[in-house]
Amino acid sequence: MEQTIPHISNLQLLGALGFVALGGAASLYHGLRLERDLLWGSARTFVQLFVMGYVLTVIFGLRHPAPVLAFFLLMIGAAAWIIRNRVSERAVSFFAPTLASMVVSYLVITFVVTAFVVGVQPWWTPRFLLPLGGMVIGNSMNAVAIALERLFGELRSRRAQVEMMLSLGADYREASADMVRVAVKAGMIPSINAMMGVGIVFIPGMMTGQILAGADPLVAIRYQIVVMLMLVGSTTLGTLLVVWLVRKRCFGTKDELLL
Amino acid sequence: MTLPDGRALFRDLCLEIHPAQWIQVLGPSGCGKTTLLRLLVALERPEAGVIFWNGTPLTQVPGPVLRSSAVYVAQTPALVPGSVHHNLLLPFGLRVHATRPRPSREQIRSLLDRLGLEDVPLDRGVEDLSAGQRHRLALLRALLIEPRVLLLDEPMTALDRDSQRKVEVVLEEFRKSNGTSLVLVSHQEAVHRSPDVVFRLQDGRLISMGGA
Repeated sequence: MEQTIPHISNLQLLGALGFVALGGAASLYHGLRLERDLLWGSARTFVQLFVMGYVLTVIFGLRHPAPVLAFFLLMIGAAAWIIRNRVSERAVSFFAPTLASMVVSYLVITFVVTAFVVGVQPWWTPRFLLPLGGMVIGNSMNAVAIALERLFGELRSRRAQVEMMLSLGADYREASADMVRVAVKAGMIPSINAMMGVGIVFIPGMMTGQILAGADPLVAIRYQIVVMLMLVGSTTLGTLLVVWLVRKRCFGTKDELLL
Repeated sequence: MTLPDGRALFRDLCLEIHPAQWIQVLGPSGCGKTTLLRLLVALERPEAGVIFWNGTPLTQVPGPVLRSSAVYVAQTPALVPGSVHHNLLLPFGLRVHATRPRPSREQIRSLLDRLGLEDVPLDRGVEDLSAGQRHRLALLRALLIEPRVLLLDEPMTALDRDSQRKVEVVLEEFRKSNGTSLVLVSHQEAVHRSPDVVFRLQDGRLISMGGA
């Protein structure tokens, strides 16, 4: 099975921009005004991944957990910032609780996977922690954003029901229990759906990478199974924590709805 | 509370609610009647001024504790999907009412009948009830937890005169037997029962109009 991976030259990389040109053409044809976003997105993809490649090369050589964990926290911070900009709610500040819940849940899940499931020694070995952690962040980030959007949307659209419950003596947890349920479910569903389609509808990115790098598909699937299950755990934990923490911020000291 | 032009919604506003009092607050649409009720149950926070509950500033009373005794029924009250019975027993599933005995189906049936809801079965879903039926259901839900103060926002608007009279009779009996204070805000005067005190909300002030 051992094969060398064909090198992608700079010219070939630039050639791949043809796919983006296709998007640009569609945007022009239908007046979607996505040309600028496509250009900016493509440029960022090149710059961010090249920078990450060089940074990872340096970090993979490190033998101390502090810089590795600092880089991991930086990745989480960036994800929390993206969520802050993506979720449109401005009446409640949710960045700090989002960051806190992401740090806790992603550290816990990634630690469990590297230390116990994969069994890497030490658990923070950057070659395992950062790619696995990156997948946790990338996938769960969407779940957290979906759950937050849904929580705010539900609390606003069902304001009359929340205030009816509050008026009867409910505390903020009781008054918003239905909305929390809907938000957590919305956050969890994509990772569950992904498990349904994996291996049938699509070959996941990590497995593809390993196979392209010459790994035995039977080894690659084991890693992929761990990743899929890990993502369910991280989206669940991340979604639960963020919804619980942010929900509290939607209510005042008298349990009155602030949205 | 401030108006879009920056003026305060209420000025020099002073209102005392005594046990078993029937208070009516009249005023045109948009004068702040609903906001006044919401302030009294801490669903809104005043920017200035103090509200006391039994001599204690509202800031020191937990919201659920206050609202278990001072119950506000909105002008368009919300019901949750499910049966009439389920909606009426909703408060009894809350922590703050955990020790309160649940009313029997017979007690509920009798109260429904007296409110003019004879043709509404307890097990019927609430989805297709009329506005007037929904309002009386919400009113009964509030009465079942025997509040010390009941704050009703336009309780008669969706009702015909006969139903208004029935609601007033039930409220009056409830006030007498439980000592519950009633605060009704509306844009029209009571039909059957003269309130103890009538206020008119005008230019952000409550002006006493006397009473019975």
